[in-house]
Amino acid sequence: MSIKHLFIVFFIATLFSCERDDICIDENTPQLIIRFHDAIETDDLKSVSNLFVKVTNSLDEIVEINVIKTIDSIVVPLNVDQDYTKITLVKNANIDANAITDEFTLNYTLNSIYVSRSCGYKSIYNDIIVSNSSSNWLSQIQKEVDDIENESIAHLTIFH
Amino acid sequence: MILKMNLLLISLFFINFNFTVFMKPIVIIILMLYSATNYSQVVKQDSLFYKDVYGIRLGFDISNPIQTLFNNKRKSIELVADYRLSKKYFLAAEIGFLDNTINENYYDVQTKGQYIKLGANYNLYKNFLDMENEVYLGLRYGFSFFNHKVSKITINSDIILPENHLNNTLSFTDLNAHWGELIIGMKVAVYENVFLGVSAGFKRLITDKEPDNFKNIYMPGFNRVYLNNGGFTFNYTIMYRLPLYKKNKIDKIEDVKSIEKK
Repeated sequence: MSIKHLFIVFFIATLFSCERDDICIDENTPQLIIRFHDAIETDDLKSVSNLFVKVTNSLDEIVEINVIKTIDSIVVPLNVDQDYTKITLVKNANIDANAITDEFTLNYTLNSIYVSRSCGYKSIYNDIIVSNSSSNWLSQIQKEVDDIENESIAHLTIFH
Repeated sequence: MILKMNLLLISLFFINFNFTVFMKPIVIIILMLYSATNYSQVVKQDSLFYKDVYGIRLGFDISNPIQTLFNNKRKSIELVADYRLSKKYFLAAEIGFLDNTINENYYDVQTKGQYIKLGANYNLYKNFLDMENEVYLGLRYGFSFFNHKVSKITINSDIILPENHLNNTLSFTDLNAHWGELIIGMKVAVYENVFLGVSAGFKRLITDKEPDNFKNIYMPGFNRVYLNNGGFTFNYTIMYRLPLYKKNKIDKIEDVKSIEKK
């Protein structure tokens, strides 16, 4: 092998030897997934008309989560800097006079899990408990899991 | 001429410091090749044959102190040594220390530890007369033991809600790693018994002791651990040789004849 050949190998190797994992593409902190079911035919999904969802953050500010929409499931971010999140669900939110509000608090234990170089640490929510729930338009909130670790399944089912 | 080239080489280290890390070795190799071809040594011929010098070479990595100069979050030392076993084989070893802090998007990690690499180099370069340059392939077994301190953690969460900044520092201690390394490099004799070297090392992690709830994303001697468990380092070394004994360079009569024809 001549020096020239080796030099070319050297040169090519320096160009192709690196890959990047600087961009976070892994799943990070999971959000709460709620599905809405019929209160009588409990297996059937039932959409909530013109649903508007709000969350109270750790500074006691109300944060709007979605645009008003008729849907049968929703994804809600949870607070990672305190161990509970108050969630407000408004039905028929498109017309103020018809709006009905329900709310509940989700309590949990926060745990930090390392994901990857670029994503850092995510939170998971262990031992979730639903408390202080009102039932103006919904009839029942059912817990589907004890721990919110990913977004692959629904965590809460709300019957209405 | 030699002095001029050396000054050029040294100044290049500084001038090119802002080049990408990948450009530097290429430029330096070109310069080394150039200085090697221009290098003429006083011929010390005590018989028909030129002599090969056998000895121990000791040195250190030049890039580490320079990096510390420009980046106060990195402190590292690497000492290098090799011993000539035969015409083409050299036993080689490196030991080093590293204290390096990386700022990632969601946390800082300080890695501190030591490493040792043991192996051999095989010289591919056929020197004319009494030249002593090398273009070599090397293999190493690497072992490192180290700690990580992870601080300034921000939980990666939906930005619609307030972030959570953890105040505590996570310590991960008593970690270690074993790896194999393939090295391609060059060494050039710049003065009698003084050698400059540049090399690239391609690493593959064999096994490592993983921290609980973190990953070994950076390790002493290995540097960044890529997703495929590979790693990559450049070394720029200066070495001094302690000559021990000499051997005739040409030991086959055919070689002499072929040289005489020329």
